[in-house]
Amino acid sequence: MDPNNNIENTQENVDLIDAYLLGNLDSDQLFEFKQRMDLYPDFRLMVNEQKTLMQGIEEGNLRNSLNDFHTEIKDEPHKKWMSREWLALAASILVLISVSTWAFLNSGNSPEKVFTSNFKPDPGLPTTMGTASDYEFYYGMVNYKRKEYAEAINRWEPLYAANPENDTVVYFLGVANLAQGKARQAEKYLQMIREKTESVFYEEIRYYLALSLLKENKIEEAKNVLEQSESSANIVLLKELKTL
Amino acid sequence: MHKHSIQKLNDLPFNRTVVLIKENDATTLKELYKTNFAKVKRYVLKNSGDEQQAKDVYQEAFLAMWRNIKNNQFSAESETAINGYLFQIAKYKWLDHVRSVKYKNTTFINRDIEYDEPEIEIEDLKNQKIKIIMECIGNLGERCQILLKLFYFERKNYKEIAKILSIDEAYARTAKYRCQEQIKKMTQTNPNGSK
Repeated sequence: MDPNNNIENTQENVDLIDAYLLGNLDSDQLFEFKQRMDLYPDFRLMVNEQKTLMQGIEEGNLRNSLNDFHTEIKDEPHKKWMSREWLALAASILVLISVSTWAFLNSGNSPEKVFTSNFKPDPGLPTTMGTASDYEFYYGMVNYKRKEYAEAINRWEPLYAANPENDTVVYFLGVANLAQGKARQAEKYLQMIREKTESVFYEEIRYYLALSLLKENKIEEAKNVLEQSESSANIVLLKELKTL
Repeated sequence: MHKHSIQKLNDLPFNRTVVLIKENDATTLKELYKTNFAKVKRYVLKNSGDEQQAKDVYQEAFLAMWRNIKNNQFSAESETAINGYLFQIAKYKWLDHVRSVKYKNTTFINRDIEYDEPEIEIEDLKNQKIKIIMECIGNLGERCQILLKLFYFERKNYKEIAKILSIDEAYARTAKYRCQEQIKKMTQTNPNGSK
């Protein structure tokens, strides 16, 4: 065995080291591998470097996932976002927007205008995160963010079929369909989850559902969806709908 | 510490949980994360911290726990359960923060804390290298990031990766090698980790 030949940073060596690091070598291979590390310090060095690289990649991804995990922690103080300060801020924004809306409306208004001025797809979820079981979901998210809505929908539909209770999948299916102009389909998805008060997307679901209905010219239904909504976006949209 | 009752982690045997943690099983990690935050938060709030600080210290503790388990510095067959271990690290880290920063002269009632100081997780140089790698990952193209994540973090094999990324298996292997070479080059040209 020519040691120099074996210590080269070839894909073959990298694959072998991966197999060792991921515990995929059988006992004979493992014995041989360890012997090689003992014999050739350069090889050992290469193994250590690759191990560090792997650890960095793992830790970086875990770090990214932690905030994702955190958003799933539900606790009571979180609901306190309707504080007095917040309401004051929302009220002032509302006044400001009402004035501009009024100005806008005076120049003539239509359901189409309200729709186009309000519809902007949800920015989506970070794609460097995600869990092992839902890579299909976040790869769909990569498509979604590239505005490849049809592909995103193709990836998410089987996920929805497998688990119709997942409100995140249903929500993004709704928004992606609406972004494609398929208001009816969007409405179908968003109606399914409109009563999910525990969903982190609760207010957004109502927002996009109202927009779907608006696009289908169901203005009264759209207004009903937004009644009693608490987010400023929903309140503003309702105001606009009332002028139609 | 040893008098503490062993807490259960979703009724899974500890060694099974340890295996899952070592494999970065997302469901296990997420459940573990969600289960233990409330207790750490209560502790930090009680000891002059706020919610954001609780979150920060908890996330650092969570990573330390994960690293220690990976490096076999914490044996889950021991009497201390993972939940308890995570809480102890968080508590230790918070007390350390409180003592070192602004509360040096404050007397704490909670002095009788019992905890095993986590062993120094990784030696400095290696730690530094890992940090640089983490910084460089973000500068890779999205495809490389996903590929490396799938391979090392999610432990997918090339066949599975090929399917996810709609490429063929041999290409997945070569692409992963190239991405890895890219990140290696980045870390060599940025020895201080700066962009």
